Amino acid sequence: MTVEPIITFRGVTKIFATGKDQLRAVDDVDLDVRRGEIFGVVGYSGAGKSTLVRLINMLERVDAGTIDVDGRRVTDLDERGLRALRADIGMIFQQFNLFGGRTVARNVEYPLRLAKVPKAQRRARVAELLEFVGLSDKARRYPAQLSGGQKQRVGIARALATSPNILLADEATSALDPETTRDVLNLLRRINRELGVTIVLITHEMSVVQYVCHRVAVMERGKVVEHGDVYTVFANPRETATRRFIQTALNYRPSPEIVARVRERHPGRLVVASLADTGAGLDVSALTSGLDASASVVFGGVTQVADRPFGSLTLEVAGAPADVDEVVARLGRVAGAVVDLGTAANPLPDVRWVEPRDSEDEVATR
Amino acid sequence: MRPLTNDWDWAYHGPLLWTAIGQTLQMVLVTLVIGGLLGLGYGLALYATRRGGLYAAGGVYAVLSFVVNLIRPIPFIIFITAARPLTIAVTGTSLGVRAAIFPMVIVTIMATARLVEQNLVAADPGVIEAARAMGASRFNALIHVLVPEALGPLILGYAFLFVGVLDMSAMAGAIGAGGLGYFAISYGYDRYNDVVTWVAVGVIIVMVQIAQHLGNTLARRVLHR
Ligand SMILES: Nc1ncnc2c1ncn2[C@@H]1O[C@H](COP(=O)(O)OP(=O)(O)OP(=O)(O)O)[C@@H](O)[C@H]1O
Ligand SMILES: [Mg+2]
Repeated sequence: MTVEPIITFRGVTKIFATGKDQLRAVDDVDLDVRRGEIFGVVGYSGAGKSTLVRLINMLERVDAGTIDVDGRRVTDLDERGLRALRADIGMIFQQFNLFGGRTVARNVEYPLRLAKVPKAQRRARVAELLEFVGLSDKARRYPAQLSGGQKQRVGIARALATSPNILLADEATSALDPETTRDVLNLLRRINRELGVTIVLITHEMSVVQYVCHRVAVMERGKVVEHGDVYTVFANPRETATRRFIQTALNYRPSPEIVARVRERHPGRLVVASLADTGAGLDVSALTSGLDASASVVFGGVTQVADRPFGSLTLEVAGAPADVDEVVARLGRVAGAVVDLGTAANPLPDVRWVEPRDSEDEVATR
Repeated sequence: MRPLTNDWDWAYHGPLLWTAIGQTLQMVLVTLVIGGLLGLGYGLALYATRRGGLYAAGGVYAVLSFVVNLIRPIPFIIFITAARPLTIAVTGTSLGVRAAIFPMVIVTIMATARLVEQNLVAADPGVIEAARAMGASRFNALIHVLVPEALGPLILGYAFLFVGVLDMSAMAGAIGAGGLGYFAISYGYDRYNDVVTWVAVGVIIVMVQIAQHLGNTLARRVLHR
C-alpha cells in the first residue's frame, strides 16, 4: 500500500553553534511520514530527536534542506504563515507545559482563543475535548491539582483543540509510570484511529514503539540510521544502535553472563532462536518428532510487536549427535534467525549479541 | 514654639501625623503604580531582548541593562539632588511631593525592571514553547502566557519593592516633600522628641506589614499551588 506522505524531509540539516563548535543536531535527513500513521522516532539522548520533530512546526529553523507538511513547504514560511501552520499541528511535551495559572478548561481554551473562535463555540469545544480525554469532572481544577497522567490528558486535549491533522509528541510518556503510560498510549491510539490524526512520537523506550507505532526511525548523532515498518525493524535490525535498543527493550536474548549461568544447569547444546514472522508461533514438539533428541526452553520470551508475535527463545537440545543437528536445522527453517551457542564443553559465541553502551559515553537521560 | 520635651500631644502631633501619612501614601502609591507599570514594560524589554529571548537583540539588551546598572547603585539621596534639573524640566518644580515622585519613579522603574526580568527568566520556558507551538505570536506568548504564569512571584516582588519605595519617600522628605520621614526628622529628631520618631517608625512598620500581607494574599490567590 502506498500512502502519500504528510510530512517530507529532504536533505534536512540543523546546526547549533555552541561557542566555536558547530553541532549537527540533525544531519542531512531524508524521511517521509505517511498520512494516518503513528510514526516513532527513537534514539539515545542527544541523538537529535527533539530537534528533528521541532523542525516540523518550525520551532527550530532548518539550516539546509526542505520540509513539506500537508502540501505546504514550511521551510519557506514567514512568521505569519508559521502561526497558521502551527494551529494545524498539535504538540505535547514530556513536562506537559500546562499553564499553571489557568484552570484545565482555560488551558484547553487557549488555542481556540488564539484562533479567534467565538465564545459559545469555545465552550462547547472545550467540553467535547474534556469528555474525549475523560476529564470532564476536572474542568475547573488547576494543573497542580492533577496527577501526571491527567496533566498529559489536558495537554492532549489542548493540542487537539483546533482539530490538527498532525500531533507531535516529544517524550509524552517519559514522566509517567508504566500503567499511566499505557493509558496515555491507548488514548493516542484512539486519536489516531478515531480522528485520523497522524502522530509523530519521540521516545527512548522501544516498548512504546512496540505498543503503538506503525513505523519507526532510529536516530544516532543527527542521522536517521534506520527506518521502516516497526515489525521489520524489530525483526531485522540492521544497525547496531537499533539492535541494542531492541535488546534492551525486549531482554529475551541471554547476555553472555546469563548464558554462562544457564550452562551450569544445562550443559547440552544451546540454540537461540529469534521468533519473527513465524506465523502460527513455534511448534516445539515438531522440532523433535521422530528423532532421538529432546528440546527444552531454558530462557526467553515472546511478545506482540505491531500485533504480531515477536521474541527470542533459547533451547537446550540433547540426544544423539546427528539428531541434535537435525533439530537445530529444523529450528533454522521455522525461526527467523538461529544462533548456535554450542555445548558447555564446546561453547560458541553469540554472534548477534550487541554489547550495551558504555555508561561513560551515555548521556544522562535527564 | 513648643518646649523641647519628649512627649506625644494628640492635639498638636495628631493632625501633623495624618498629613504625613497622607503624603507618604500619595508618594508611595503613585510611584508604585507609575514606576511599577513602566518598570514592567522595561523588564519585559530586558527579558525579551536577552540572548536566546523572543526578540533577541544583544545591542538593545546591553544598552537597557547598562542604564539600569548606571542608576541603581546611586544612593537615592544623591540621585534626588543630582536629578534636580531634570525634575524641574519634567515637573516644573523641585520642591514638594510632585518633585519627589519624579526621581522616585525613575529609581522604581529600574528596580522593577530587574525584578521583572529575574522572575520571567525563572519562569518555566516550557509554557512559551507550548504557546508558540499552538501558533501564538511572540507578543501573545509573552503577555498572555508568560506574565500571567509569573504573576505570583511578581506580586511578591512588588510587595518587596514597597519597602524600598517607602524608604525613598522618607528621604524625599529632605527636599521638603513632607511625609512620615519629614515628620520624624522635623518633629522628632530635630526637637529631641524620641516619642514622635517612634510613632513614625511604628506607623511605617504597620504599613509594611499591611503591604506584605496584601502581597502574600494576592500571590496565593493567583498561584493555585
Ligand atoms: N538550542 C540549542 N542550542 C544548542 N545546542 C542544542 C540546542 N538544542 C539542542 N541542542 C543539541 O543538539 C543535540 C540534539 O538535541 P536534541 O534535544 O534534539 O536531542 P534528543 O535526541 O531529543 O535528546 P533527549 O533524548 O535527551 O531529549 C544535543 O547535542 C543538544 O545538546
Ligand atoms: Mg528530546
